[in-house]
This record gives sequence, C-alpha cells and structure tokens, in this order.
Amino acid sequence: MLSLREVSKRYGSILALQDVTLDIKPGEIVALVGENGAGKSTLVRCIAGDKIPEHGDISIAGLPLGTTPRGVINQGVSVVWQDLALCENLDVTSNLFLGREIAVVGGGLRRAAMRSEAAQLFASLGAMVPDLERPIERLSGGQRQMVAIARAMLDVPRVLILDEPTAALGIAERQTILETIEGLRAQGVAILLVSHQLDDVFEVADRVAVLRQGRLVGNVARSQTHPDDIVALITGVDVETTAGQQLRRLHSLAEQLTDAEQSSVLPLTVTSLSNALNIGRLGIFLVDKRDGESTLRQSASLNLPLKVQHAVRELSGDANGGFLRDSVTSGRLTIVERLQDLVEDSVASAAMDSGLVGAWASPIQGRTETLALIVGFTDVRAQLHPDQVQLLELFSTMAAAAIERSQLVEELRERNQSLEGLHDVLETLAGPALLVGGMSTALDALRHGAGCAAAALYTTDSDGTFVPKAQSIAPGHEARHEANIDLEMARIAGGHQETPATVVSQFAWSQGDAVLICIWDEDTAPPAETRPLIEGAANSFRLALERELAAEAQQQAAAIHRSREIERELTRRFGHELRTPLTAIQGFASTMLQPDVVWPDSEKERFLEIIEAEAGRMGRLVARLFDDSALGSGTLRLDHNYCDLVAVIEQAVSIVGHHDALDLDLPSDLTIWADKDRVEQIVVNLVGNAVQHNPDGTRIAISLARDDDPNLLCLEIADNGVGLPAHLVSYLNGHARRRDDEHGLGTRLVRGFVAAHGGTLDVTSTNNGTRIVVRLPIEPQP
Amino acid sequence: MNATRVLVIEDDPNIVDLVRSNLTVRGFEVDVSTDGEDAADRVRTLQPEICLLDLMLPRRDGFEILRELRQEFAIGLIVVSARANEADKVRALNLGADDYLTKPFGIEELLARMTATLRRTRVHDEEIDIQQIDVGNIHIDLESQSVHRSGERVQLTPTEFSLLRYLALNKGVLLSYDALLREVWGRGYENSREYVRVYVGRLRAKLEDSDGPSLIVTEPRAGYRLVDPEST
Repeated sequence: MLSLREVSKRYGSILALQDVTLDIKPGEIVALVGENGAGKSTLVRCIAGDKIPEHGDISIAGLPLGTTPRGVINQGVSVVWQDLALCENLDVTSNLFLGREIAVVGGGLRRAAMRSEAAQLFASLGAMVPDLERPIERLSGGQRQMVAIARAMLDVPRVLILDEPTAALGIAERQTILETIEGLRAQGVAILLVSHQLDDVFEVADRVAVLRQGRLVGNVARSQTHPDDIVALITGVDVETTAGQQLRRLHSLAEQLTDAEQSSVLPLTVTSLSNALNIGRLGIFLVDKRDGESTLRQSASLNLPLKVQHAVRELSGDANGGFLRDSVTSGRLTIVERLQDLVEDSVASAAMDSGLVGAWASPIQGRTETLALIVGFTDVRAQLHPDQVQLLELFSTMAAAAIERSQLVEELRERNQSLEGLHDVLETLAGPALLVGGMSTALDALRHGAGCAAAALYTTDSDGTFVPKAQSIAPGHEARHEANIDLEMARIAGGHQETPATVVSQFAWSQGDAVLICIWDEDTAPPAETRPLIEGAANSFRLALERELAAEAQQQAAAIHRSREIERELTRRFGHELRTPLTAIQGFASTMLQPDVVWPDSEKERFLEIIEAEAGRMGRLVARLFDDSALGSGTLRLDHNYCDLVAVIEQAVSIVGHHDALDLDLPSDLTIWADKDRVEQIVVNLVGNAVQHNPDGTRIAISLARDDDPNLLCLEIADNGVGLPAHLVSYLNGHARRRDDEHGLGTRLVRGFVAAHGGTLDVTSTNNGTRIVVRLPIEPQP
Repeated sequence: MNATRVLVIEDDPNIVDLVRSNLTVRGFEVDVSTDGEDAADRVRTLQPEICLLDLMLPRRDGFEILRELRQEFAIGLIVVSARANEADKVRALNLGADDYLTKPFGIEELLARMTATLRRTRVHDEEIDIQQIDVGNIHIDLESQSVHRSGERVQLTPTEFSLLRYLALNKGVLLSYDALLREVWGRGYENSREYVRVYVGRLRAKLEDSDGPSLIVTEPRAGYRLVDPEST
C-alpha cells in the first residue's frame, strides 16, 4: 500500500534520513520506533507532504505520493499528530468537521447531519465518546486521541499514521486506543504507529521498524523478535544471536521464579517460553497430588482455546490414558504429531474441535515426581526441533526448583497450621532474603514448633568432620543438652542409629553433608508427626545453606570490587597529588648524594630547605586526603575551639600568595567556635581556585562581616573572573547530580568542611565573575 | 664541543630548580618554559638538543605539546611525568617521545636517561666503516643520518633512526629484544620491551607499504630482523 524507496532527507549538514525503504501493507500495523532524533518525525513529515525528501520515492498503491499535505490526504494518507491539533473550546462534532463545513445551507440541519455522522463514526471505531456537544477542553486524554483519530478517519484513509497515540494516556484509555487501532487494521487500513512505548508496539504491531541515526536498522516481524532485541536495535548495542540470548533470558527468568511469587511469574514464563520456542499456544499445568490422586491445574497459558482449558481441568484421576497423563506418569517428553491418532483423549478432542492439529507435553520433573507439564499445541503436525527440546529441558530443570520450593512451603503450611510461626521462619529461610539472625532464629522456631529441648544444625568441614553451624537450646539446661547433642553427633558419625528421644535428619548440600538434630528431654518421646516436620525443616535449611553460600560469595565479590576501587582511587590521587612533592624531596636528596659534584654549603642548605618545605606540603596533602576519606565515610572529627577568624583568613591568604590580586575587607577581630585548620583550608581552597582558574589581572575581593542573622558570620569571596562551570556551582550549592568523587579534592573538602561546621555555601557565578558566600555559625551549636 | 642545551617544560618551581641546579652544574645550558605555550617557538630559536617535558601543565595538554614538537623537530624528547600508568607511557612513546621518566625520580636516573637519549641523537659521532645502506626501496645514509624511501626523504626521530641503523647494520640477523634494548637504548632499559614494540611499529608505519612485504619481520617471542623485501 504505502511504499518508501531509499528516502533521504538532510537538514543542513545533518542527514536526518538515509535511504529508508519501508512498506506497509493494507491491514498491517507497522510500528516505527527509535530514540529521539532518530528520524521518526522527519520520516512521518516526509510521508505527510510536510517535508520534501532529498531523494527517494514515496508511493501509495503504486502511484507517487503528492508533495503537499492536502494532496497527500486526498490520496488517502492521514496523520494523527501527537499534539492532535484540536480546538480546545469547540465541541467534539465541531472539531471533527473543522475545515470541512461543506456547503450545506441551514445551520440546524447541517449540524444534525454532522452529529449523526459523528455518532456513526465513533460507533464504527468502537469508541465511546460521552457527549458530542462537549468541548474538547473537558475531554480526557484518551477521548481527545479518539476524536483526533475519528477526524482522520473522516477522510477514509487507506494509510493512517499515528504519532505517539498513547504517550499521555492511563492504562485503561491506552487499552481502548490500542483496541481501536486493531479495529482499524481489521478494516484493512495500513497503519504506521510511531511510538516510544514498546509495550504498545508488542501488543498490536505486526512488524517493527527501527530507526537509528536516520537509518532503518531493523524491520522485523513482531512474532519473531523480543523487546530486548528491539531495545538493542534502537540503542545500537550489538545484538547477540538469539540462542545465547534466549538462554540468558530463561536463566534470569528462573532466577525470578525462585525469587518471586509463583503465580505472578508463571504467566511471564509462558510468554517468554513462547517467544523462545517460537510456539504460539502454550500452557503450564501444575500437578496436584491429593490422596494419592493427581489432578492437573492450569497455572498459566497463552492462546489456549477455552475448550482445551476446560478439558484439562476435567481430567480426573481415574481417567485412563490421555497423552497428558502419560507424560505425567512417564516423566518423559510426549509428542503427539497428530491429535487425530489418539482415541478417547478428551483433551485431544477438545483441541481438534478448536482446529488444532498436534501437541506435545514436556514434564517438569521434581526430585521424585512430575511437578508440572508444559504443554504446547500446534496448528500443524507437531514437531520439536532439537534446539527447542534443549530449551524445554533447560527451562524445566530451573522451573522445577521453583515449584518444588513453593510446594515445600505449601506442604509445611498444611502439615501443621499451629506451626504458622515456624512456617514463616522456614519460608523466610528458604526465601530470597537472608533471614535476620539467620539459622539460629530458625532453629529457635523449630524448637518451639516441634516442642523439643534442643535443636542444632551441623555441617561438615573440609575434612568431612561435622562442626556445629547453629543451635538452639531451651534455657536452664544448656550444659546437659549441649552434651547430649555432642553424644548424638558422635553416634551419627559412628554410623549408629539415633536414640529414642532424638529426631535426626541428614542431608547433602553442595558443600558436603549436614545434620539437623532435635533432642527431647529424656523422659519425653518425640510425637509421631514431628519427623516429617523436621524433614521438611531440613529441606528449608538446605536451601538456606545454599543461599547463604551464594550471598557470601556475592559479598566477597562486592568487597573485593570495592576494595579494588578504593585502591585505584587512592593510587590515582596519590599518583597525581603526591608525586610532585616527592619528586622534589627525592630529587634534592639524591642531588646531594651524587659523588661527582661537591655542592657549596649555601646550596646544600637551600636544598634542605626545599626538602623540608616539600615534606610539609606532602604532610598537609596527606592530612587533606585523610580528611577527604573521613568526610566520605562520615567519620570526620572537627577540632573545635574559639579562634580568631581574622587571623585565620590572613594566614590562609598568605599561603595562597598573589597578594596583588586580592582586596581584603576584614573587621578588626571576629572570634568564632570552629576548627581553625579546616576553616583555613576552606579559605585557601576558595581563594586559591579563584587565583588559579582566572586570567591574570582578575581582582578577588575577600570580605568578612556578621550576617543579617546575628548568629552567623558571612565570608564573601568575589572575583571578576570567567566564572565557574555550572556543575561546580550546583555541587557547591549542595544540589549536584554528580557523585562526590567526580569533583576535585579541594572542592569536596570545601563542601564537606562547611557542612561539618553547620554552615552553608551560596555560590552565584556568571561569565563576569563568581561570588561565593560562606556562612558559619559563630557560637557552638547545640 | 659547545654545552648541550636543554629545554625544560615544567610548572613546579622546585622541580625546575632541581633540574636546573643539577644540569647546570654538569655543564648543560638550561632553558625553562613553565607553561609550554611557546614550546615550539622556544625549540626553534634555542635549538636545544634535548627537551624534558612535563605532561600536566596548567594551560596546555602535555601530549599536545609532545605531538607538536615531534612533528617539527628531531630533538631528543623525554617525558617527565607524575602519570605513572602504562597507558600514558605507551601513548607518549607512540607520539614520538624518546623516553618516559616517572616522577618521583632520582637525579642519577634522570642523568642516565638523558645520556642514553643523547647517545641516540649523536650516533653519527661514532666511527663507522659503512656509510650507506640500501634495503629494498629504503636508502639509509649513516653519515648524514638521513633516510630516503623511494627517493623521498623520511623524517625519523633520533630513537627511530638509532633503531633502524642497528637493524640495518645487522641486516638479516635476528636481533633479540635484549640485544635491541641494550644496543639502541642502553643500560637500565632491559625490562622495557614496550619501547621496542612501539618503535618498531613507528618505523614500519614510516617505511613499509601498508600492503607490501615486510621490511622488519617479527620473530614471535624472539625479536626482530630487517630483511630486504625484494630478496624474499
């Protein structure tokens, strides 16, 4: 229908579109995506006749498209722009017919005709607009969008271009608009959907065209791609081959499965699995075991006919045969090439009734039994490619763990309602977050729940010897029970049976063996129902051990990473800041040691003076680096005292030097409660910066006075230089986006020291100069 | 012989003092530029034999100065910098520095490196029997220290020339990294294989045709040899 051939458009030196070739067929929605500036709007404006391409052809149904907006509309191409171009104060009907008030005489009649046409139009769009007489300004975003679409449809376009139709809409309205768009597709309109919303794109588009930097970098069928791939195309990040990517996607999905609630994840799983396998009709059915009978319960499905869903639900325990049941029983992948070959299979008949031809069922195996089935239906004879089988197997293993865990929790819950507390603890223990208080808390809960006197968890060390991991003992008898546990462990290690007042559950985990042991008082026998409880608990502990191990590894990795970062940072700073004084020190020291020159004493003395001065400089630098880390870690301690601020400033100014450039206006004295070294550092850094980063001849005025607020003093450093970079101004003013460590040491110290004194910084800077006002409290802060 | 003239581009007054004191007392003539803004002009007028260049200067990027100086002059160029990482070092060598000295340094080391670089800039002072070497389309005149490629003059830095000279005098012979470092760079450079790699790369870029046969052949893990492309 609409056809673009090698369309290019240039704005000055910028190539906005480069050789874009794109086709949109009748009854097809093509989504156009890309970053801002990728050329989307230029492309739309070229089609709409609003811009004329440098070269390339745009045609509709084989005829070249006009080059004026009206001409293009007349050829059947309408655009709904993002700004909609509606008149706020006119009502819906008037907006629809704006500019088309055709020659019908007699306002009343014409109005009635327009109204009825409008109502018809909205009905055909399947849209509800509350009141055709309502002014646009009182409509919601979705209703406005609908009016704009309706207005475009008045031209009966063959091609409709929608520019971000859902950008400003809520969920419900967005859904309505998408349905309307799908309705238009059903009417045979060719639709170009320009959108930032990948959700929309994946909901309705048949194909996705991706623009990047004016080039068409992707044009793919929606069903054959994944949002991640599209994002990769949009951003220009290298796209990997699908196999590896799908594997990773499934891995992350499995992680989500173990981390999140099952019900919320399985639908997601189905969608992703469907994409990965490229199979459109899928379902996951959980196997419920009750009284030795198993039933299938649908958990999530995609595009399964209702009839099939019902048939699965109706499958009762005693129904003989059936390919789903076979797969549950055998635990093996069952492929039914043609459903018609099966007899007396209710699910198969239901599927055939719905026009399906083949099916397969892939069991998700737990440790002992089939936990669930992944079932796919096909419109053709069923066949699974080896890659697909591999993906299925991989996914099944990972899903099994998740389902098992939830079943474990479920079983525990059912086993003993009164043990809610224990259950919660165990669930947390096996859950994604590390339990606060860890295993001991869980053992406490187990001890209370099982009514035993002591509970302990042992794991083997690297030699295979059991060592205690955690324990919980009823208060009052610690020594006796500790001895009992030791005895019992010795028995277990010796391969003996447990004693009557003890329940022991041994299990293996990735790092070796473990024992969960519960001991009752000598005269109490453990109740019969505690054994399964403790075995269930042991399972939770197994998961908790694994999780702890993973968390440790993660923490270690993070710690190593962090310490490397600190090391790098220190090296960098030491490198830059300390090497210069060190060079002078080492250089002059080695100078005096050279045997080939005999230096006069006056020279030697001068060298030593320089060495001493540079050593002092280094000392100050190291102190500043320490201060900086202390600020960074929040451990800076100020050395407060009453000090003469005027003297401090004069000292600071003498350190900076460049007296010719400075104008001082200081009172005769002003005493404040502060850390004089740090305040001196503030002044040195601010004045030093002003000197260093401005051209020669810049005047720097330093003035000190009490503030309008009598509790504060006000130190002002103003220059007529070139101004500070915006990020620095914003950092000093305390609202910066950059991280602390992206600023220089001096700047960080100024900000940190002022804040540590309870003061404020107020920085204004233009390219005619900078004015920095430091306000510090005069008296000690409460 | 006149005193060797050195241009020091360095902004820290104490380091300037350090270098000046030590070089002056040893008979060098020392000029200083504290910002490097006039570096090229200074080299043009003063014609120093060697230049010590700090990379971190208040107003100009030291790498920029290095590039500018190397484009125009075949003097010895030693970078003296607080930037201690390998990447900066290789970058400086690639831009044509003859050596790279990391701060802090002892005076002995500075003097040793200057001596080594000066030795390379003065190869023609040594006695050689052979005056001209031809390898393929490359003509090397050892006396005038000039190199022509297919009749066109090729500008080489002192270190580049020194390396080419050694390779050419041993045409066809495999020269190990150690031998090259010892002969071309001198003592104290035994562990600086990156110097050889960088300079072989620079020579190849100047002397070989991108699609033609190799003039300098890499013997993996062993070293390099100069071969006559026409004879292979």
